[in-house]
Amino acid sequence: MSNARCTGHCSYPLEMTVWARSSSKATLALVMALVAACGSGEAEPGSPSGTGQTSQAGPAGVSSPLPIPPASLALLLPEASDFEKDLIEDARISVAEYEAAKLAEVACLRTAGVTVQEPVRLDGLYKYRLVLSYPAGRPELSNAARECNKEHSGVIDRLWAEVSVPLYQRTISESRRLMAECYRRNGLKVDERPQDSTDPAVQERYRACLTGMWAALDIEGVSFGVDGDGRPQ
Amino acid sequence: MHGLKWSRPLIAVISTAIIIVGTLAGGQIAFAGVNPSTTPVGCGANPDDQGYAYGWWGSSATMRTENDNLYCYYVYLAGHYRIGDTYYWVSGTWVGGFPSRVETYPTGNIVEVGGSQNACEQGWTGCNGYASTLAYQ
Repeated sequence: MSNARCTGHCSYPLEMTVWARSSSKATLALVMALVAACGSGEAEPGSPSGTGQTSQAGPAGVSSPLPIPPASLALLLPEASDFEKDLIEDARISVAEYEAAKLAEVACLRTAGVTVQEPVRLDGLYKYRLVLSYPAGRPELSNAARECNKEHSGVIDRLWAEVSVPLYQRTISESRRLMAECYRRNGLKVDERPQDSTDPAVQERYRACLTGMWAALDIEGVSFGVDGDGRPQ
Repeated sequence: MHGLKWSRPLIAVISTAIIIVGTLAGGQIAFAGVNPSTTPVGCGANPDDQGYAYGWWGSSATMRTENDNLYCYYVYLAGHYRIGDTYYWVSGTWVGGFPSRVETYPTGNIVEVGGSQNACEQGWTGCNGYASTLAYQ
């Protein structure tokens, strides 16, 4: 199980060396204060929070803390940072707590000098998909990114992925349905794999389906195939 | 399985290092428009030839996971791309429910794409470690 410890670690270059750890208690207090100040924690995907604010009040049921399965908690708690332990010690996690963890990670990144692209917000998958940028030749920034993730959301990311499955599975199913519908409208065939076509006209139609689906579901950059492609759902 | 669990990340690191070193040495690998690199992963003791992470240039640069392994409930995918001298890293996310996923990067002059993948069974067991891939336009 030790391999699963490396959430985030392997998403950055291997050669990096800088330490960017922040005080977990202080950071948690600040972020939760921000959550409270924004009057939120009850999130609806897609609400902009690029300025560091959490998303605003959302659909019924989503705001309630979700129980963490005991087996997962027992397995992952030893890997959690003190910051994360403070968030999950009640064996539950809410959208607000997930957002607090991700916004703390973003603050840590920016403090370390990593550029975090806007927008920073909860997307239609109830996740933060952060896009970081930095110039070549600055390996220390990548290591900072790794440490910020480990300190603030490495374990939270996994627990949130588990407890929020019922929330985002609907979005995944809808994305596949929308893509199939768009294929039909545009004369694209699933078995011809338009996503891999070298024909510019096919590429353009496929891209139009993709961007339309992204906009409809607020999941820019992410897709899960199309109904009829034989993938499990 | 313990041997596998420990060796796969190592293999991934070594493979990536070889590619990086090869590139630095001038041996850039051209993958334009083709499936450049597949790195299989699996879950627990189950076959590891049914899950892949790879970069691809089609209508856009992408990182993909193809998960046909019904033992792999959670799939992790992280990626990066490079435009000129700037690297862009898309933070890794776990998604549950046996997903096959495509991360599509902006159209433009992307010259390098890479990423890493992991997969776990339900209950976060059977994770066989991270596998990486890197490809150049």
